[in-house]
Amino acid sequence: MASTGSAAPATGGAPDHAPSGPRGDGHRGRGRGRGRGRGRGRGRGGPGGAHHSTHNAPAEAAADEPAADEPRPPPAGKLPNFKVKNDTQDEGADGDVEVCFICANPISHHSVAPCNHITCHICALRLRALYKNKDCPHCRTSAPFVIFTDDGTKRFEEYADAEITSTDDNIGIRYAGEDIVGDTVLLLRYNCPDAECDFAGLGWHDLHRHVKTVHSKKMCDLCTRNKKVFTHEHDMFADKELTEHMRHGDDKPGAVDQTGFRGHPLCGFCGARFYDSDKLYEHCRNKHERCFICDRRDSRQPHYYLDYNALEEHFKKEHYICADRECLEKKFVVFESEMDLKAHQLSEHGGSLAKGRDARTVDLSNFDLRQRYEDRRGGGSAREQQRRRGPDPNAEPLPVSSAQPLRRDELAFQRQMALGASRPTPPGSRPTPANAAPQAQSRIPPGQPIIDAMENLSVTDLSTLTPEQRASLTRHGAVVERAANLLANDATKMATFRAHISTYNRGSLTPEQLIDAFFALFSETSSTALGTLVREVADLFDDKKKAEALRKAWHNWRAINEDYPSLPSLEGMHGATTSTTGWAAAAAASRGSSQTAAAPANVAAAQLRHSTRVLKLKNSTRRGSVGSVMSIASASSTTPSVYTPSSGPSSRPAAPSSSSAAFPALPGSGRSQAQQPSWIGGSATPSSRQTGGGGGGAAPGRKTGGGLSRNEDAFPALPAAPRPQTTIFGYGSGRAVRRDFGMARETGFSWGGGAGGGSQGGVGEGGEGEGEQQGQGQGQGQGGAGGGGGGGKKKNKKQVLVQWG
Amino acid sequence: MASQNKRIAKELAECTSSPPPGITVTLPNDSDLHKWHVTLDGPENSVYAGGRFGLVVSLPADYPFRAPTVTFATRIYHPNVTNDQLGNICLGPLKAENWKPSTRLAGVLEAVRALLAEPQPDDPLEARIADEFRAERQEFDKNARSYVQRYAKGPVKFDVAAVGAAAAGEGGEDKKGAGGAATAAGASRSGGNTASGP
Repeated sequence: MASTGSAAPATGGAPDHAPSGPRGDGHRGRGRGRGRGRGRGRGRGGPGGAHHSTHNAPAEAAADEPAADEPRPPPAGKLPNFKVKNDTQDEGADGDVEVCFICANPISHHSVAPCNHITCHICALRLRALYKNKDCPHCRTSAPFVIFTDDGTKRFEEYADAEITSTDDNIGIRYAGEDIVGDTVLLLRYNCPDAECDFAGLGWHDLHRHVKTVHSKKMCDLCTRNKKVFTHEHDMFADKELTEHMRHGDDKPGAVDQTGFRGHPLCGFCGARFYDSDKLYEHCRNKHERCFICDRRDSRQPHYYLDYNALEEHFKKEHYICADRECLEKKFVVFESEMDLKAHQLSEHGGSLAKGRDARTVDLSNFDLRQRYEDRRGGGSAREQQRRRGPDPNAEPLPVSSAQPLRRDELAFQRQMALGASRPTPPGSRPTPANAAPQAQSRIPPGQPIIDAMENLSVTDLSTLTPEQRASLTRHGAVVERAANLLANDATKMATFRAHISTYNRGSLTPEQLIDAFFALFSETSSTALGTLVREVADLFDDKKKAEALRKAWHNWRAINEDYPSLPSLEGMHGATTSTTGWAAAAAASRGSSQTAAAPANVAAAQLRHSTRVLKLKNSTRRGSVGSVMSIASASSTTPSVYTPSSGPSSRPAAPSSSSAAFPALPGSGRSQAQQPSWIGGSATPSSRQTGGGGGGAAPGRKTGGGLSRNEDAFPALPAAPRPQTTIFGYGSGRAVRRDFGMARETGFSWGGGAGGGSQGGVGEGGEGEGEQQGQGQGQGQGGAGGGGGGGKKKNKKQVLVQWG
Repeated sequence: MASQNKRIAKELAECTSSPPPGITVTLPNDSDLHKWHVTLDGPENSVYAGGRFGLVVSLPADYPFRAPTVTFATRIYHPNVTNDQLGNICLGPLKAENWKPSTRLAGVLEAVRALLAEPQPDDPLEARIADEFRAERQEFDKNARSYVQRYAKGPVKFDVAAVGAAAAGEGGEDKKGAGGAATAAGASRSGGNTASGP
């Protein structure tokens, strides 16, 4: 139902018609004389008058659907209004409504750049975290840091360090208030796109799974990999819709939510779709061949062929290809006209006269080739043999005269050599790892600078070391080299890199933490490149266990994130919120009242608040606002999703959702176990931890089986998830629960019960889930205990729902 | 996808209710805010005076974080506009590396109109026309006026650009049916290249 959700606001600033009079038309910008005013003036590129005179139109547009927006004021309680936007310009005394210049949505928190231009924190976050662009959107001045604040009038340079409660070095944000931290980092989690669901996944796979199992929908894989939007802004599709999306995009005449997206383009050769034409172009450039002659003739579009064979066929048919074997080998020796081909043949392959020359050149080229051949061979044993026999090339087993017919073989051989890693050497001569190093001593192969240098080093300095030590040194050098390249030779970063590794070696970092640290450090690096580095680093450890642990941690990260774009983790955070306190703590940070909550009711209430907050935040980034909860709920109830029947406003209190929401959503956020006190203090966190690790009781229950399968599938393979601190629900019981829920899944009612269990476990009252759940009194606990009969449970759930409602 | 629609709606309202001089904006499809049809009156005191030019503005889904594309639907004889059916424009603020999310479409359209008043032969898309503009201004003026007479009189047609693009796409398909999509995409890419070229 995402489409419904997004459709409604498409007609324009939904909330805009909210009552609020035009005030002080247009003077604020000037009055403040601040960056914001400046930026606006510049950006608009037109006279301010034009701007103001137009502000009525959106408001009118919005008036079409007043009912939809009323119940959903933006989180900060500010009434959004275009009029006000244009007119907020009086000196902030009325203080409420400002509209972001970039997205035209009301500003809930300000982002102040060093140039003192202001945007809303969502636009700033979008640019910095998703577009990886740290320039000011108004003037493109580079802004290594921006300040997220609630004070729209204070200048960037007026902020003292003391006012900054948290700093995120990765995305370059300084927070002037923990409330803002919460509002910000919640957006960076893997939030479910469903407007009614506050689930946050551990990673893309987790989220995909959730969407599939719980909402019976799919997210477009290409979009999730490439589209630069927050996770919850992605669309969810039914199977058919997804096909439609892939093929035609949202090109539906008359539809309200068109964006001009015309589907993901298809590569006609591979049958694979690509995110956009740029990606397709890249693919074609790498995987297919272009006919340069046709391109030259008709430059309007490139002319692609499946591979070189197809292209060669085309050459033969349409153009004039040189049939000489050598030229066929060289490839692309083809001409537009017969004349050109003749000229080529005359000059290169010659007639009778040229034959004599040809003979000479044969000798010459032959000689060259032989040299190259030997050089390239490098590590091969032919060279060894040669050395034994003496330096005379004529003593080689291959006489010069016979070299000509062998040339193609040699060429092929050279090509293979050039291919790199798996270099084939003649049988029997393959150097084993043991003798490879000694060889390295005595030879200086050309054209392999890095390894070469290392080997030379080993010859000169370390000749006393064992081959193993030398090899290890070589590897070490390679790792350092790679890291330095990836870090652009930044000395401080290199130092950090070394420090991280030695910390890990000493055992004070878990492998997962090390991986996270790498991600923070190598924020510019692709995960593939980082993977190579991690593997190489792992090879360096003498302690096999450590190496193994590191590899495993990396695989776990991969398993969760694969090659999806990673959202920035909290690793770079310091201040009141740090990576160790985790998302949940950050999110909960501002709500002190809930911190001490111990009674289940309080927890539930706190979680309700949390959950509402997440949903509101999610909505706040969408265009306009996403209709009312009601309308969406009713719309979604028509879908076959199991989840929806119980959804709707009344079901929200079922806190379990926030339990998962409280997961450390991004790898690395919530891993430090030492922080438990703060976790327990947090309202939503404890439950999350126990659901995540300990066992299936709560999470699965809540999501009517969706979460469950997630646990089953993912958790064994994913130690990156928070580890169970206390095994409240063992895996065994979890499985029992699962069977139970398998049934419940059909009814869709298991949910409240699991919820109760989850949240109560969350209170952290220790080991007995049962007892607590009974404490809750409504029999919800049975869900957690797993033993409860389906029927009875159903009843209970109903009861619960009613009560909540 | 996200909040940008609001911004677009706002800009559209701005451009329709108090349009920059000589510029009229319409939506070809009321429900699609991402495609604008703009009618541009050739600036007085330029060779394009009296002509009415159609512009097609396409806003990407993540506008304003990515630049819109603006193309001439009407053929025009101009150093900075490709002299073909695509009508790509070389316009500084629209280049990806120069785009600022704070740039407004009204400003972009005004810049296009300013480009008609003052061609930039030093940054040409059509080198030949640029040379002509510099060396034989008379000849250029004559050609430009004749183009206006030929293409820019009467009601503005906006579908030309679209048709042109489609034709380019199909052109690729005759080579190898399978490669059709690839060539089509490549076409749009190569178009982009020319647009952002010198």
